[in-house]
Amino acid sequence: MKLSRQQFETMAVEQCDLLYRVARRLTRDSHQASDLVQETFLRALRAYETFDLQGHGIRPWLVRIMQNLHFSRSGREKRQPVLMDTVPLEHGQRGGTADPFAAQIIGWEGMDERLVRALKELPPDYQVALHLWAVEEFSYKEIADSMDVPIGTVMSRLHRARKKLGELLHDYAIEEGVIRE
Amino acid sequence: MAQKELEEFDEPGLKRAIRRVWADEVAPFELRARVSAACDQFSPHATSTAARIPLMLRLRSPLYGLAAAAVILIALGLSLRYWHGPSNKSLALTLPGTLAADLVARHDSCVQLPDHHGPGFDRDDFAKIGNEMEQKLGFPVLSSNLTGSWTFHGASVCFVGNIRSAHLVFERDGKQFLSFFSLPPTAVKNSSDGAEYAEVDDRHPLAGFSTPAGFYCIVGSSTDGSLTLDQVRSMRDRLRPDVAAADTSLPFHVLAMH
Repeated sequence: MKLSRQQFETMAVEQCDLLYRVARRLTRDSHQASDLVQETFLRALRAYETFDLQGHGIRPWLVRIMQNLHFSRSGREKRQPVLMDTVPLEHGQRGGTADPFAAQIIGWEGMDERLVRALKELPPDYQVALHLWAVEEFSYKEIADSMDVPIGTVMSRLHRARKKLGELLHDYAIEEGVIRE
Repeated sequence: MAQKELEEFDEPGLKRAIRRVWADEVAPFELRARVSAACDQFSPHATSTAARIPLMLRLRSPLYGLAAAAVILIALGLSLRYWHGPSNKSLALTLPGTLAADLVARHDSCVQLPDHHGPGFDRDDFAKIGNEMEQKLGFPVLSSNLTGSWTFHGASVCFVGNIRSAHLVFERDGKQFLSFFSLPPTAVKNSSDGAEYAEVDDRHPLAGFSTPAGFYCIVGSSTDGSLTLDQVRSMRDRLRPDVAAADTSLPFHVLAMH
């Protein structure tokens, strides 16, 4: 489905907050995030003719532009997924039950401050995957399209991000009684 | 992969917690303005609001008459000053707030673009570029070519902080980069006519000057530190007459916008 330029601009501008939030995850800096969002819009507007509204809409398309722009700007010729991302998860891990730490956290309430700190320690790829999943409510397919990776890699990243969070918050979770020892 | 299998991974508690700490972030107003300007710039019928309104309609309001009279008086005053020679040409100018940092940030961002040519602007005729940008922005623009081995990467309307500016980008040997910025006079309020500015900010040499119609600044950078403040300052002094020439050709109705 081909959009008029006006429709396209309206749809794109509506995603300004989403793009800014994702840019914050990628750059970890508000000024750089703003610049990245602006450049993403410029790229998107230049590429308007190539955009075709399909099943997943404009959001993954814009995030993908942002990702590519960010990684090309930060000097990587090509985004290199961490090798462990490509290793298939063992069957039992899909539900997270094989995780010795994170799986036992029984509540995330009251951990916001610690959680913010722990989230900041995650690699940008993990942060973006978690963000798109939790905040923007992207489907796994949309996250995969946005990050230009297979769905299995999205699941790996989410799983490992959660595991890492569990490790980072382990001691605090015991103190607060939100973990079973 | 079955949807059921994917859903098994879901964890509502973690999702809610992440949403609590991340979902409140919204794009700053200044960024929204930049995005709107980008859309405006790329619109096939993009012209400034002032340009869309016929001149006679703009002059119908009595306020425009008063403004025009004030401008004529100011212009007469300025002419007298020019005839007698500016007495404060070497006054030092201090940039307000974060303007220097904003100039550097815009420079760093734009020099990375493979193509900086904005839509609607000529690609190599610097007189045309100057006129087109002046029409769009409402103030005279520094639009000059550089001799030597400098390559022109394009001219575009870019935001410096939240100020719309004319921005020309040049590159030499992939190592040195220059930006010519033209900003409205309101960017450096209370500056004296002819006041000069030069400093190094975050390893970028900057040299500028103000006129009653605008503030002009050259920002440089180099991968090997080969571009010095002295070089940029002398470049500014060489190019300065180009802006003075554009300034005298400025129609009164354009000055009245400021």
